[in-house]
Amino acid sequence: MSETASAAEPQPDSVLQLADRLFQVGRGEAPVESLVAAVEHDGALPFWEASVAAGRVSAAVQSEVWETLSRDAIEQRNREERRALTEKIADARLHHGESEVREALVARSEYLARIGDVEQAVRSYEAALRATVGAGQRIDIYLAQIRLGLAMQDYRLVRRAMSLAREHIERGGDWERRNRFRVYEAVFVMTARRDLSGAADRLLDSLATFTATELMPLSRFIFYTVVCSLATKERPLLRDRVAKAPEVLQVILQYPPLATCLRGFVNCAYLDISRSLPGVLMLVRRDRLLHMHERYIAREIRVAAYAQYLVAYKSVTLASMAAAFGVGAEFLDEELSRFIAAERLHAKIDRVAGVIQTTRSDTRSARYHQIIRDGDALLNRIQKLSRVIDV
Amino acid sequence: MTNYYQQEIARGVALLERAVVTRETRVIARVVRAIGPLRRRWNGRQYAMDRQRQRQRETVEGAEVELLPEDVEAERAEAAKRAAAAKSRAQTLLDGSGTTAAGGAQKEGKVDDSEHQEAAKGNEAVVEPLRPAVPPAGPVEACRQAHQALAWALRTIKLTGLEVPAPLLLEHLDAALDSAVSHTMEVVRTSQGGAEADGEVATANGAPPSEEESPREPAAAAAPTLPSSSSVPEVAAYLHLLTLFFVIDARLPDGGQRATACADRLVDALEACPRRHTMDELVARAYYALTLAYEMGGKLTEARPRLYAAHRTAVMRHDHVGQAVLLNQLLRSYLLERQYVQADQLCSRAHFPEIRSNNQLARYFYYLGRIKTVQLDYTEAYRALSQAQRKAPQHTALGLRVAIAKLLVLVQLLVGEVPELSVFRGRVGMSDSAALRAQLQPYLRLTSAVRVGDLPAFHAVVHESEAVFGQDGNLNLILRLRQNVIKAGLVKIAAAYSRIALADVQRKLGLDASDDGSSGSGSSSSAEDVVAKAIRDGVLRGTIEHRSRSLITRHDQNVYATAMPAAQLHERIQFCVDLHDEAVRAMRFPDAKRNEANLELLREMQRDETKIEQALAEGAEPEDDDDDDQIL
Repeated sequence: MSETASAAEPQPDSVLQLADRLFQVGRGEAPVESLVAAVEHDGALPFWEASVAAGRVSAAVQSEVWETLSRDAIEQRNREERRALTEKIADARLHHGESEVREALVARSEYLARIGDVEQAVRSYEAALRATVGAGQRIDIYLAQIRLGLAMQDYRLVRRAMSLAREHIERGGDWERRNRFRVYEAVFVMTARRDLSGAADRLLDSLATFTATELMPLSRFIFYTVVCSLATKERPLLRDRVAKAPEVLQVILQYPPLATCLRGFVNCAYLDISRSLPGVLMLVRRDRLLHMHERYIAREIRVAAYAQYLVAYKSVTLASMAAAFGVGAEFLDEELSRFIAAERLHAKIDRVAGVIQTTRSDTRSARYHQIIRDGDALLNRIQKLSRVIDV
Repeated sequence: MTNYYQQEIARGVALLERAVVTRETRVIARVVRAIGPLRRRWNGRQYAMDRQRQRQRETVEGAEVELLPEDVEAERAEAAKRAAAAKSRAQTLLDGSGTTAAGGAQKEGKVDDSEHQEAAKGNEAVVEPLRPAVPPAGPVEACRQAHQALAWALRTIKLTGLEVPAPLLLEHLDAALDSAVSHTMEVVRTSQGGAEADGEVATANGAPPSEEESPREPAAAAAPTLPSSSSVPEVAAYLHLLTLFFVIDARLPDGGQRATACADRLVDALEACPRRHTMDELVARAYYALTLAYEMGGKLTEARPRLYAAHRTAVMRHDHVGQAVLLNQLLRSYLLERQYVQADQLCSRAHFPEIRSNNQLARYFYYLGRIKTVQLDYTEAYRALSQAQRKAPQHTALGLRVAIAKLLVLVQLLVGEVPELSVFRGRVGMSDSAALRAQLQPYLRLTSAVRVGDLPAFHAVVHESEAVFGQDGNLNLILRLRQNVIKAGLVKIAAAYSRIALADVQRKLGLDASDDGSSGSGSSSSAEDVVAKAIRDGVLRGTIEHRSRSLITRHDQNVYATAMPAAQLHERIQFCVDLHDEAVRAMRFPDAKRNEANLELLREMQRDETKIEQALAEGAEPEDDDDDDQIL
């Protein structure tokens, strides 16, 4: 797990894999035995207990796991391991120099992170930080904390570690760590803030230099990149930076629906988009970090597709647009009316004649509305200041 | 040990005496205002607020990461080692060089230290520093201290300025004490919950209620003194008022009898004594307490004639504070009984005086807003409620702020605007935003139903939260919203369609299952009526083509062709200009205390801002965004 040592690509953190497996078991896509086996293998009892406490596990799965889990054996093993590591630290303090002490501390921290004990791991990492001098190694520790936070869905920890890491990187981080951190940042904003646009920007920037395999394998990184870009980016960018990128081309065939959807956008093959969208959403649903944004992604991709189609037309019949998308006219009417009323599409439907007419709004009224909106925000803040005016 | 309440009362009395002589009404106002925090301590509110703030702080700010115990020990061991090494090095130096200068320097240092200590001790013996008493730890202790202090005050001072029966008051106090204590124990229990509360209650009870000063603290603190007699009626009124509040807050189970009796006595005494302007604040507070007592006893209407008489007197004597308080109490008594017509008449006849107390203004504007809402004057209501929101206190008075927020949301919905999501979230970092959010939940659901124009969903929400709405007194207003839901639905349809059949309109609006059997037979005739009315009201811009039974909308893109931009901008400019005028009027000469208060306020706002920025930078948790999906 120490990236500096191994030449081969490191695997994603075991605790991340564990979290994924738990998610899959929750969806019924993986057998409970595999989860039990993984927990036993890593000794990750704290991880399991924390997940149960946070309500991430259904009652049925819980009971099954408690039956088959050999709790005492794991606890025993954990205690021994912990003792061994602590002895190693003490030993290092007595007989060896500072770097050995640091390594021993990091080893203990990594162990605690692997079993999913957030509180102890953070405190252990704190001790390791105090023994670490080099900026690069400190950043690595922060990145490890971010990974732990992402696995345990402890976003406070992630935020804290990210701000500290950002400070250190700005002060003096090497390029590799900077790129890696950008990927971490992208994943965080994607999952926690639903800022798919910002995430897409960062992911696309890191496309050529992806090395953060301890966070996720390349295929998953490409998956996130393509999904975020499809939901938020326009066709030119999709064509030039996503569809033509060698990294994407290398991996995209692993996700056939995604490949079809991307191609649909690039080639304006709207039927492909409609047909592949359910598949894409299925993939999104299976992903631990994206599944909560499934409806948002579905909406965004649909809006993007309709908008792209309507760019070309001044007026088009409902029937031909429905045929282009391979959907029924009634369904299309519903969709379009919703999006138009929400001002996502600039068009109007003539239902009697079955025709859609596109409209272009002029910028002056748009700017006026923006002035009003921003002005109101400013006035609210001035209003707060007005509290000072009084006895 | 000095009793916190003793000190406060002593200070209050001293200030009152001085202020009466120098005619400083502001000082008296300050003393009266200080009753609030005293009440909050003994009634448990302060305790609840502190706990909430503490909980909020724990969740928001990241705690310092502490090391594992083994690491702490290791660090200490290392530090000890390093210290030992340094000392040994120093020792070797000393031994090696053996200069008397170094040793002398050390010895001198030691001598200096001891001299300093002696001097300090001597100073201590000479000057007796007055150490301010520590406020009581919990509300239970506060109750006991308050009782003790009030009893002591009533016994020490011989009050001649006012007809105040001291023994009767003492009796009231004793009767109220037990009830007060039990009530606050309840509060402690509910705000903490469970085992912790019992522990705290135990510790609070552990301090034996003794009349003498316990010898725990050294006698360096000076005991507060009270004059042996006071002919100033203000002092008597102050003590009587405190006693009355204690009795009210004790929530005696006798149906408010004791409280009303005490209140009656106080008000009678005040009315009988010759009034001066220095009494105004106290009299106003006394009337406030009177209404509170009567309300608790359920006899609010009986108090009204008295309030009216007092109001007349106040207007005649240009007693602005009294006017304001009395007017507020009268409005409140009307609104509690839903007598909006009378309340409206009172509002229009009685002019609210220009006073500086924000709290009274906040109340007045809230009542005004409520009256105007019921009277269908939504613009005035909106203005009044926004003012109320501005004048309401920022950190306390959660109930008032929640009520204002709820009514404001409803008024905005009735006008046709959609309130922003931030209204329902509360401000980031505020200790009570969680409670605010919880209370506004039903209104949030209501707003999303109204905004989307979804009639069935609207009915569902109303049905679900009927109890809550009824308790807030807002149910009738919400039923008025049905028209708004239909309007919102129509607006969305008009935005999306340039031409649409009326049958489709009806289907989309959900008007098929309308329970008011207006014109039952024709399927699209009811929709036609609704649409026609909407066009007439200016909700939609369009025409109905009767032959083809369709609605044709005309979309006016260019907003600059209307007068709307001018009107909106004018509104905002007006606000800025008014604010500027207010600010200029409020300018004062620099005064150290006021500057401090303002600085504190500004610092607080800066802190709020940084918290907001921090929160924006860090982003909301994922779970919060669930209701956004209802947008489409």
